[in-house]
Amino acid sequence: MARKKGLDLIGSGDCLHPGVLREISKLPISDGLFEYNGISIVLQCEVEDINRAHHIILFPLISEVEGFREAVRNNTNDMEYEGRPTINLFGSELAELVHRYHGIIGPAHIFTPHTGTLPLYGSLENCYGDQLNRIGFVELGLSADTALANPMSQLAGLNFLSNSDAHSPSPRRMGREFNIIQLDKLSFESLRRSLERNAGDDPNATNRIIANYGLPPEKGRYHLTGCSSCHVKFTWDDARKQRMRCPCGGRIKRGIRDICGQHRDLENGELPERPLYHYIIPLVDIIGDVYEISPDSSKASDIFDEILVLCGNELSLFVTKEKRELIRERFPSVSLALDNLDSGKFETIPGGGGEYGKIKLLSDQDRALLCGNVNSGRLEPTGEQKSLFEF
Amino acid sequence: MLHIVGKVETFRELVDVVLTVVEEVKLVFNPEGIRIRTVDPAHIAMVDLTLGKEAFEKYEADEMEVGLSMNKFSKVLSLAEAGTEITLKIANETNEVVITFGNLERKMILIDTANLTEPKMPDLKLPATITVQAHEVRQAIKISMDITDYISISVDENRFILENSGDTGSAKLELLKEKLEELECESPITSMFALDYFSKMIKSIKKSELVRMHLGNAYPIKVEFTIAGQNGMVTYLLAPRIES
Repeated sequence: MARKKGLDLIGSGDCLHPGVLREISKLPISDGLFEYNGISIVLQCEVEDINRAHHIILFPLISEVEGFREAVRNNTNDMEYEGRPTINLFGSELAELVHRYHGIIGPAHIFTPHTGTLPLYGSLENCYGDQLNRIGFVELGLSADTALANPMSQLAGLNFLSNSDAHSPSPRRMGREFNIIQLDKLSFESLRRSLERNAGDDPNATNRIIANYGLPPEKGRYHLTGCSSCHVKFTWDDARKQRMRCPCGGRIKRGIRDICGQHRDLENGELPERPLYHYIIPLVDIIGDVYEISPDSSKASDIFDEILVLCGNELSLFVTKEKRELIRERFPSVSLALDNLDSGKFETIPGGGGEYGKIKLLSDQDRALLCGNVNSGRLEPTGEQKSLFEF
Repeated sequence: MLHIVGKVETFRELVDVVLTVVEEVKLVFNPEGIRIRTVDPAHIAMVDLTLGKEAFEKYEADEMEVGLSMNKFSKVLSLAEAGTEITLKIANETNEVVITFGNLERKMILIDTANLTEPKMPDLKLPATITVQAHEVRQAIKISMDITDYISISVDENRFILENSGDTGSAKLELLKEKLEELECESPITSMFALDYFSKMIKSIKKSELVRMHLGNAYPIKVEFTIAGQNGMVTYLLAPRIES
């Protein structure tokens, strides 16, 4: 799937799990990265700390992972069978151990209610303590983007990562967000340098993140404040008046837009320069929207594969616009949807309370232009239906 | 008065043909048989059906018009096993049909025929004619169903082609003259039709039957075939889709 997507480097996921570690150890390693079918893999896992905050950890070597596993063995009960284990240490203790084993650590989906560092610790300093100056990145998560995260002084100097948070190889999960990272060499050390604090400040630096690609934050399932049971959305003021209880009885989860609003302390003129954040949506989701079919259907999968035959891989459609021309004639509807995504010409119904948002990439006018029938989900030029009594 | 006894398969053939176009229909009975002609509400498809009294085990009918829900009749027929004899009776001065088979009896209120008009058959000049085994056309439709919602039909002096193409691929049936029972065509013609209508029409034809089609250029198609052991005749008309 990584090859279909066009990814060069992926995180292994679950590298603390003994079974996963055993499988990875069979692969050839070079400069701290493993290789499988032409894809580079970095040892990576996500863990939950004592406060339920999630962290991303990268390691350069199997031996370092094994050392870390031994060091936390007495602080976890589920590392032998959980892909994302709970380690009963505070963020600062966790970071100190990761650094001892030459790993890299940073907050996963930093704003997510109940599992993000900011909602749980209140600040990065509270989480990482004296290790904070060694933290170089934050993962924005699916419901946030650079525009939401940038106006926070505590994130200045930290690199923003737009990662998929994929826990499965589905085309809807893997590569749904990605980063373009410039490296002098495809190695763990170069990757480490690109993720160091302030690495992105120098536009001439060799190793740095040069672009983020991610979902429009409205598509994320925690973008707005909403009920986790019936998914009705609330303003933050209304939610507080309701004491975070929905009239349906469900709990109201604070949305990332409101969480970001709370931590915002920089004005527009004070915002740090950041790599551009481009909006993307997984190709199978675009296919599902355009053809009004399930993205999980075999038909969507067939179209996905046919498009890849033409353009090579999915990400090339987002990154290299020339590739988009290759599909324009055969898949005009998909091509137009991609153009609309670039230009922001799409309608959104924001997600919240755990329900993913919805995005409509083609307007009724687009559909009419494409097929002459506004109500048709099909986009082929099917002509005008005549009546028998016209003949 | 009406008193008909016939095999369930005969009634099912009639019902399947009509349900392709409408759910409620006017049946015109006379001493020689049954006649139905109806058009769908969008005026895209028409069916004309005649069924002779020879199709039934017993047939006694006065001149009469009967409005019937084919959906409801179809549900009753679905309860009968293959080969079951079905009896239809309508007594004088009543507005219900009594359907019986085995130990079951179903009385169905007749529909007012005032709203079930019988359309005039358009006078079409269709220059091309082909006759082909129904199962060939059925296969072409099956392979096309998940591609687009229309199908293109072409005929020239040497071949008959059914095809469609869309974003997800294409499908094509090409039959040369030697494979056809009949082909008459002086100049090439092509018409395009809504696949959902066309597929329902073709599905209502038994696989082993021959189907005769008359075509014009961007013109309606006339589809003819027999039912009930050649004791009945069906003609469908389907309006084309035309590229603007």
